[in-house]
Amino acid sequence: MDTGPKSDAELMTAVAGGRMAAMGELVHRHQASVMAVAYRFVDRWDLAEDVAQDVFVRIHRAAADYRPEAKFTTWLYRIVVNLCLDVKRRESRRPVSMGEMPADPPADAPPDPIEARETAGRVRQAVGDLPDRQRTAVVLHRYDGLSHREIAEVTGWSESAVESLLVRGYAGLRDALADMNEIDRRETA
Amino acid sequence: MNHPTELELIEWAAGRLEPERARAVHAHVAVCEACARTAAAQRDTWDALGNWTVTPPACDLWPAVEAQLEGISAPARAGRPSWPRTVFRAAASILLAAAVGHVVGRWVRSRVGKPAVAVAFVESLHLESLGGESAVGLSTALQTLVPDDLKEDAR
Repeated sequence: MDTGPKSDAELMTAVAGGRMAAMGELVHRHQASVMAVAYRFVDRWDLAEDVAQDVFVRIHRAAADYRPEAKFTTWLYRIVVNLCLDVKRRESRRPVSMGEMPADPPADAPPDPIEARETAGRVRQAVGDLPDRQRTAVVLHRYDGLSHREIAEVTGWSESAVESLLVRGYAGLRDALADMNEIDRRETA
Repeated sequence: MNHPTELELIEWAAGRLEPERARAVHAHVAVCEACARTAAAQRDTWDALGNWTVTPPACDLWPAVEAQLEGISAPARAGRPSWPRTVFRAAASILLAAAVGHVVGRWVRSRVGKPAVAVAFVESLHLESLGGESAVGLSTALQTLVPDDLKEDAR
């Protein structure tokens, strides 16, 4: 009898019971979103893939400690963010060679008009220029749709700290992208 | 006039305010120039951020993840004994040795009637010819050799 797809909590219970097929299902279900989140932090697909693999290995290792009352994606994001921040710290200490520029979007992405790619590049730069904590709060808020409370649960920061980071982060982005927004406003007027 | 907080304007631009509060902010922004400017800038920024879309490369992480998990768990399955098993084996060996020793010892004593160690010792000293009444056959033979004050202690 087909009872429909298993929930994340059910799969985690199966993983804790030693069923590797359940772990495979979790990986297939969440690998794209984990890689996307990681990429927005580390700005390189090769690093994002490394982070994603580490995330799933850690999930498997901690499966016995997972409590179904906790939302799986919150727990997942927490691991992703912590690993990404570790990678960022490690990469910032490493001297960057000329050959190691941030990777462009993958080759199989649909071709964008030049203007759209330039806009995306500017946005990526502006987000990347934010301090780590502001960037973390803004990325989780804007691109992953997390509420203030969820961001607080993922990061371990207080809700008031998250709100302060969002205010400062978005203020910084408004300044960084002001001229771009002004041009857009004039063009559409 | 109650101005909305900057955070409320952020959530309003994101379309995430509670409906009742969203209506109030909308009404305020319509009449407050300062808040209207901030709200407009925040809405433009929110929309601009949406231009940064990311598409992960098509790949399947599971084979690599599975290989890592197999590598982590393989040493535990490859014959390296876990400590409880080692302790159990050691304890079993000790008990077995003690049991065998006990059985052999009883058999030896039943065959010769004297402590096996004592018999071996006497034989090694070639003193069996001295005879005697004690278990090791020495006390009578040595009486003549032991000073009188020590005989008192020996009794």
